[in-house]
Amino acid sequence: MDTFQTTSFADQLSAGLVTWGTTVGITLGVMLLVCYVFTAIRLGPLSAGDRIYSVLVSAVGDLLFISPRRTFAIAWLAVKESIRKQAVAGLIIFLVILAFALWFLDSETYDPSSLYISFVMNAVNYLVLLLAVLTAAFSLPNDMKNKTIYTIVTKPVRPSEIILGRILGFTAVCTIPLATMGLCSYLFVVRSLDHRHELTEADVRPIVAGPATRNVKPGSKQGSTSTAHSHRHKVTVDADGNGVTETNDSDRIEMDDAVDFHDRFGSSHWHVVTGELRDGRMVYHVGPPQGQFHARVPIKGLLRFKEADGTASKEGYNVGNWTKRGYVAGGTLSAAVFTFDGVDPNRFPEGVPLEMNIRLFRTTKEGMDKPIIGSLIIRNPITGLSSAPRNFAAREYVTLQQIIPRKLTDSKGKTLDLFDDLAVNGRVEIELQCIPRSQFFGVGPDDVYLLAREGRFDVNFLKGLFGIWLQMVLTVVLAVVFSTFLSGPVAMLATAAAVIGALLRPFIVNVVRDNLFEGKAHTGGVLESMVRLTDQRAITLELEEGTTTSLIQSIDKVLNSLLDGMFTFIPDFSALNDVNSVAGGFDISSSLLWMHTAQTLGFVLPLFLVGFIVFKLTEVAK
Amino acid sequence: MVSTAAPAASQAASPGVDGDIVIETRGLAKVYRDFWGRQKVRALKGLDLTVRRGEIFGLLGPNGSGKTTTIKLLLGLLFPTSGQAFVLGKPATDVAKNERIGYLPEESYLYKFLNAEETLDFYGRLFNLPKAVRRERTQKLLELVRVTTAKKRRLREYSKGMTRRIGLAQALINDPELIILDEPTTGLDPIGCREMKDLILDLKRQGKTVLMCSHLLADVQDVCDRIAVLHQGELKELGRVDGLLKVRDVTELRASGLSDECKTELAAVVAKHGGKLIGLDNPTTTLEELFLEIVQDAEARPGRRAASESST
Ligand SMILES: Nc1ncnc2c1ncn2[C@@H]1O[C@H](COP(=O)(O)OP(=O)(O)OP(=O)(O)O)[C@@H](O)[C@H]1O
Ligand SMILES: [Mg+2]
Repeated sequence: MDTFQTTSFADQLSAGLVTWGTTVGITLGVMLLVCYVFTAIRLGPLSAGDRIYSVLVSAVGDLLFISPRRTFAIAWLAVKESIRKQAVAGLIIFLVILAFALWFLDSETYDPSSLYISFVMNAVNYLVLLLAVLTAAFSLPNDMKNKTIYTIVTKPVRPSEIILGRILGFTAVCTIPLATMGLCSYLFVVRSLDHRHELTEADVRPIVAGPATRNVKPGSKQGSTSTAHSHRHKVTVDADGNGVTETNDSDRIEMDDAVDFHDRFGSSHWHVVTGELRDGRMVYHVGPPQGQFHARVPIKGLLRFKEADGTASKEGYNVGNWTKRGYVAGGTLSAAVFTFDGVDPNRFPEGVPLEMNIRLFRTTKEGMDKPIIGSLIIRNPITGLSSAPRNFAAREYVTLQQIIPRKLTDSKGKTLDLFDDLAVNGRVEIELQCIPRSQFFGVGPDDVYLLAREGRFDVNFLKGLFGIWLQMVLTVVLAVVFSTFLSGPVAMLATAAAVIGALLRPFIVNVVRDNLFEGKAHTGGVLESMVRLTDQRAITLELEEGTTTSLIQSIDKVLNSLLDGMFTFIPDFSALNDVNSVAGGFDISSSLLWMHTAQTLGFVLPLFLVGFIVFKLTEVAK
Repeated sequence: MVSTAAPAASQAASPGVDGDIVIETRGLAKVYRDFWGRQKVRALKGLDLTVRRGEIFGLLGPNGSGKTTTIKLLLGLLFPTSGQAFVLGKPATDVAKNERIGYLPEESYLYKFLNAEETLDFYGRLFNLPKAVRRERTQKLLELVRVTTAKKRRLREYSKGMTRRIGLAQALINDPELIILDEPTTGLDPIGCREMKDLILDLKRQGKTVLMCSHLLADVQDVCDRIAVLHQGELKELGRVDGLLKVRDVTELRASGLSDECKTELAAVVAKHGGKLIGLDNPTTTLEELFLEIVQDAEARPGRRAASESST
């Protein structure tokens, strides 16, 4: 994708591979050293070296000569085991029923699609992870306990095949319920948001002539549908009875009767209305909801701000990982400036669709339900040549859609061509301002984007499930690896702890970094905090200057970096979770999917390696 | 011991160059330790053993004498505390040796959720056998161990003896060269025992090597060529069965329909020739006698070890 934030997958991969390789290399090296030291204590340095060397050589053989038939036999056994042990089957059924009960309970209330999607997908996510922990953690320990493993390891099966086969088997076992739940939740979302409204002749009346009705075709009528799914629509139909329900508040023609304050108008979708003359009376048919589900492919821009006097903001440029919103003060020269790439006529022959989700910050109470008017100009990033300001009406939580036409005018009325005059190699600047004084716009880097195209929602849903699947695979691998050296229940608990850590990773990292590294807790690092705890020093008191203090603080520095390094070993499930994109109606790019896959493999490969070597060194008949 | 006769003495890691030696252990010892590494049991103390191709070798010993431990060490299920074990010319921990080994564990540790056919097919796949071969061998083995009628039933529903039979079939799925049987006749009915013994002899006829351990001395006596007697992890006796039994200076006389007078007469004849009549009732199994003697002797004089093979 040609945006500023996302570099290509290949670039990220090659950069990531180096860090990954170093981390894995160092970790495995340290593990090897520890193993050597322990073996050397028992056998003496030389034969320990021999032992480790021969283990490594045969481990390489184990990896190189993995037999697919044997591996799949082990995987098949894992599948059979899970299916035939009714306990697990019962559990699956229970979880599915539970999930459905939860979902159907919620189906009566009105909510936009995003809430539905994020609810069901997150439910599926947690259920599948739970299932993965429960099925995969007990298998190997049970085999050890029942000694059935004796009949496996006395066959020419390599330890690598036993571990890999189990991983594959349990992945298959858990994929089936994931697919089932995924399909059910997709149908659930689509079905439960499907609805019809009634519209009768009595609901519409002719449009009263006025300034706002200039563009209305003669004979048109206007009214409001019946309430279904806790909302209704305003609708304008022409003389033949055909029309479309309105979606956008800003387009709405003021109604002559007062709108009931508690009525909610569906703005997340629209319906097509067709009219039919039957016995001299008009009968209206309202079609199924449309435009409810999106998979927008956005082109994001680089955001910077201008101060009230028009100078560049001290906030500086957005460097990509900063997602806080900046503010644009109304009635000043303050502005949010986006630089977009990829604006070319081949991609956008019809003009450039621009979408905006702007936050409103009001400093006056008056006109709370009214939109705030803003303006935008399109500017050539090199010459500064710019279009005349175009006004828009911003409302809270409404995605504003605009098409920037190819033909624009400058402030003197001269015609400008978007692609020829304003874009330089596909790059343009779009500047947003807030018009009324003492009102503010809140704008973040993801809030304004060009709509490259609409992807398919069902495909996007599948991509979202893929992210869940990757988390599931990682959970299975963790469970299998833990179960090579822990007993069943302990392996399950360890896996559960790791999964919770992975789910909460951003939170944990933030808490630790904020408090220990950035000194927000004012107690210094680990050691300093302990010193403070023991002598109960107030947090406002500094430690006495001196060698002890500097020693404490430098040890803390080392501890902090160690602690920070530890985070590398916690996988980040939130990074694999794309539910918010699916629910927010944004397409998950394929490069992101590749990224996720690479991240998952980055954990799976070394974990597999560790698991199989641990199993190789295990005395099975102990 | 015979191990020194191996031609590859310089090449310590591969004694199996002499294709005749199937199993060889040198000073094999095992100490079971607990989680903290503290010594619990010295289950095996410096065992030297050699088993040759085509032999039926019996491991004897009272409960807890280290028979199963020896077998587990030979299979790589346990790692020796000291000493070495070579099987089919490879170190015992090398998985490649398993290609030509069949193993029947002490109890049949099989997957209870599979049926007989699936079980055999599964183990066949672990030997990387193609489907056609697996199907053919599965049918043949199910017939051999006589569970064809129950082949579609899950092992969960099997009786002990039936499970044992599937365990045996499983051990033979790869047509192994070396078969290791840990108490093969436990759980089998008399007919099953007989069949098992016939099968073992049949395997010998096919040129295969069998290592078995058992408590049933009659079984061992019937089938084994050579035996080793273990007691508390030490080798107490080693040799050919016939040789071991022959060294006893005992003449056994078996006859039926003798009257009491005849018995007194026989006793007189024995006495006349300077012999001592030990008994004249139903004869005891001689191996059993030998066994008991070894065990009693071991208990009376701990530390004595099998000096040499009685007849080689
Ligand atoms: N996993 C283990 N942990 C600790 N000690 C063990 C373990 N397995 C066996 N032992 C001990 O090692 C010794 C030898 O056991 P082993 O199973 O080899 O005996 P065995 O000759 O097969 O006996 P049996 O005739 O009863 O099968 C016994 O004292 C036993 O208690
Ligand atoms: Mg035993």
